[in-house]
Amino acid sequence: MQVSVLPVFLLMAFVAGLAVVLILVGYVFNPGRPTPVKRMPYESGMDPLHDTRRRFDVRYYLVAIAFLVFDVEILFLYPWAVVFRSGPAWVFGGGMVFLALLALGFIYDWKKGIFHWR
Amino acid sequence: MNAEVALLHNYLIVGALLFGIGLVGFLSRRNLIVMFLAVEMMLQGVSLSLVAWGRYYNDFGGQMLVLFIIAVAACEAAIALALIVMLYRRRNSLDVVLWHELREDNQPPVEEPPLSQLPPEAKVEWPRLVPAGRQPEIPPEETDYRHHV
Amino acid sequence: MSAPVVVLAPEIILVVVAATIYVAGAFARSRDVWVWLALGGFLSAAVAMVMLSVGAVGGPISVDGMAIYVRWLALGLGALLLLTSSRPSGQGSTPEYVGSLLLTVAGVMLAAASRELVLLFMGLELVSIPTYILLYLGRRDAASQEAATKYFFLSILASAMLLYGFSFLYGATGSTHLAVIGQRLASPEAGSLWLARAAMVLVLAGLGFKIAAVPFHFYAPDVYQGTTHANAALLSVVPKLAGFVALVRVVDVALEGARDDAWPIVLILAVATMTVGNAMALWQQNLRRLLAYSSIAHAGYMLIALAVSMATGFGTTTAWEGMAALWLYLLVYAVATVGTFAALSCLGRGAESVQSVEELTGLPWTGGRVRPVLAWTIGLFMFSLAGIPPLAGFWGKLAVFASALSVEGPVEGIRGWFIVLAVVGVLNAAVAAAYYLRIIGVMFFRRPLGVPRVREGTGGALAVAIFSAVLAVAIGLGPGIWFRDARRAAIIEAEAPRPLPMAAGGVQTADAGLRPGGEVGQGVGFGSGL
Repeated sequence: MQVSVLPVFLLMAFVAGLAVVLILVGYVFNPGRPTPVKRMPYESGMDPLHDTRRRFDVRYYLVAIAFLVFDVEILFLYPWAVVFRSGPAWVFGGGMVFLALLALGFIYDWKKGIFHWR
Repeated sequence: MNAEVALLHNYLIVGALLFGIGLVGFLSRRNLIVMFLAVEMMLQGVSLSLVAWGRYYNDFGGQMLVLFIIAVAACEAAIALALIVMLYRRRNSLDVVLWHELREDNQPPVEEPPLSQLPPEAKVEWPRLVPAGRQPEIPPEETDYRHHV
Repeated sequence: MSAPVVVLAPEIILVVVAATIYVAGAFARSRDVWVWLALGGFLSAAVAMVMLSVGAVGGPISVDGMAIYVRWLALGLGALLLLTSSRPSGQGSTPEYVGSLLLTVAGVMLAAASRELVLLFMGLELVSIPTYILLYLGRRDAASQEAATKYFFLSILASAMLLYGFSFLYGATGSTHLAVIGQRLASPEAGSLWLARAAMVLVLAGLGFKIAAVPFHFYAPDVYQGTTHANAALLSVVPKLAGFVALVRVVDVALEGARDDAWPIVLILAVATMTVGNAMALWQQNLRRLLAYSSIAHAGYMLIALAVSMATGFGTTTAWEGMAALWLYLLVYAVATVGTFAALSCLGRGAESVQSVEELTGLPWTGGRVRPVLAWTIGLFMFSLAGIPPLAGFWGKLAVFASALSVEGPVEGIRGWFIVLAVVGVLNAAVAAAYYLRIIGVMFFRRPLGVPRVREGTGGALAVAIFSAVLAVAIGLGPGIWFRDARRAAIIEAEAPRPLPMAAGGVQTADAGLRPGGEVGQGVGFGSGL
């Protein structure tokens, strides 16, 4: 079975190029007002240097629950992505409705304040 | 028995084992989170069987059902986490035996021996990682700021 | 042939309204608006039901007589439950409560219209998941939390069993479409028959939880006791509706090939369910606990009708009558039960609603305008649940027992079993009258001990109680049209589907995806090729 692997290399090149471009953009356009907190290694909002067995803040769990749901719903996009171009038009519309519902859920979560840290 | 059927059998056996272990775990464990995980394990057993059958019949229906099972399991996990956090706040324990308020009028509550407690944290000598690298010098206003983030 | 979007328009309307209420509820603070909006949702769903032309749909959706009946029943009960719970005590969570209620109703309707395992599973979960939230929102004390936890954990265990049953069904036939499954199991090989038997046991276990049949009933009394009257009303009708419609679709129709193994199990379940439910109800002091056992017992009567339709085989007249009896019974049971809980939710002491039977002592004679009305409606519902003629419950019991007595099945000696079943059912009904009449006796023939307060803001619940009482009397006096509707509900589309345009498209797409160099293949194909 002959399969073109050119898209894979295109993707790799695109990813590498995008990474370089993003770093460059950040380097060129950043306003340059560093603070010690900003200069710490990024550790998802926690102190990078501390004991490993520390309790997580319970507020992480709210975000974790929201993430879990949204993350798994993405699953439905895979079969949709396979068929939507060759199926009838409403297949595309159905996927869009699904995404719109996810967006509604996101707005609900946002308004309920689970993305606020306090 | 050809290879295809043997493959199917292997997957079905693993699926049944997962389902059975999950069922036994649900019935025998007392920690709410572990009970929930046991049910998730049962669902994984079901998913594995469905995918195996789907491959055997060369049909997409089983995989479709598995996709929906995973999505529903995620919703249930979200509800379970919220529920368990709420229960923990009220009783300060995840032991399911503590919840016996609802029962028949003349039935005594089920008294189980308490779960074996881990010895207090101070006595456990876990290996500790040495903080590596240089401690950044942080002015006090920055740390104050971070407490309010 | 109409598109699924058109056929499922009522469900879609309900879901859209629910989503609107959830999101808008996060923005605006109001209480009554959401109830009215949800009622509007039910109304527009009903309008959509009327506008729908019933045609062959094909594929995963089937709008046969049963689907139409159950969908109407779900819509009506949803509206009644909405009014009953129009004053949920969880402060500030009215939009969530109302939205979840809409979703459960949409779930029942979806389950009723689906004849495909994936869609059926989604329908059942759309009933379960909002129910967990409703149970959580009902009250915020320890008992309520315990109730929500018990229901949640046992419910996910039941869905896992149901799904394992589905996987056996799929394994036996290689299709998720129930009609195809039924077709392939009609002349099963030995191996797939064993798979079908395992599937049947697991599905009965999973759905037995939803209808609170006996070995799976343990949650019901605890959960009803711990939660509010409105939630108890929901739990006693909505999961039962979904569970029975799924039982009929899966066990009765699709598992036709394993019929000889199925009906004895259902028969035993029916006997155990009625007997245990009624026997336990005799000893209860807590009202919701008593009604929970009563609802278990009624599930037993409905299982008689299901056993009848299973034993005599799909398509025969007796099976038809059995199915019709099931749907008639579910209707009269639901009317009386929802009415009872609605009436009870109007009464309270302090912030609490009434808990024990004793609190109803002398209710009609405690004065006021509302309390006597509530007492008389509760009395009427008790008579109806006990099956005393001229009320609705009598006709339900009559239909069930008559169908059991008319069984003359293909198997030798089957008639004797069903005569025994009918006798056990009648004895049970007599026992059940004892505890229903005890409530009436406590209310009407004892001096008032204290005066339960009529709670504020329960106008909707009062209206539901009165409406249900009128309906119970109306069904009792003119049962003809209700029998006719129930017979129509026994029409079930069981033949295998025509090949679907959508399914064919899906297969083509999959092929195109595998073909390298095709238009789709560039983007998608390499993944499968590598």
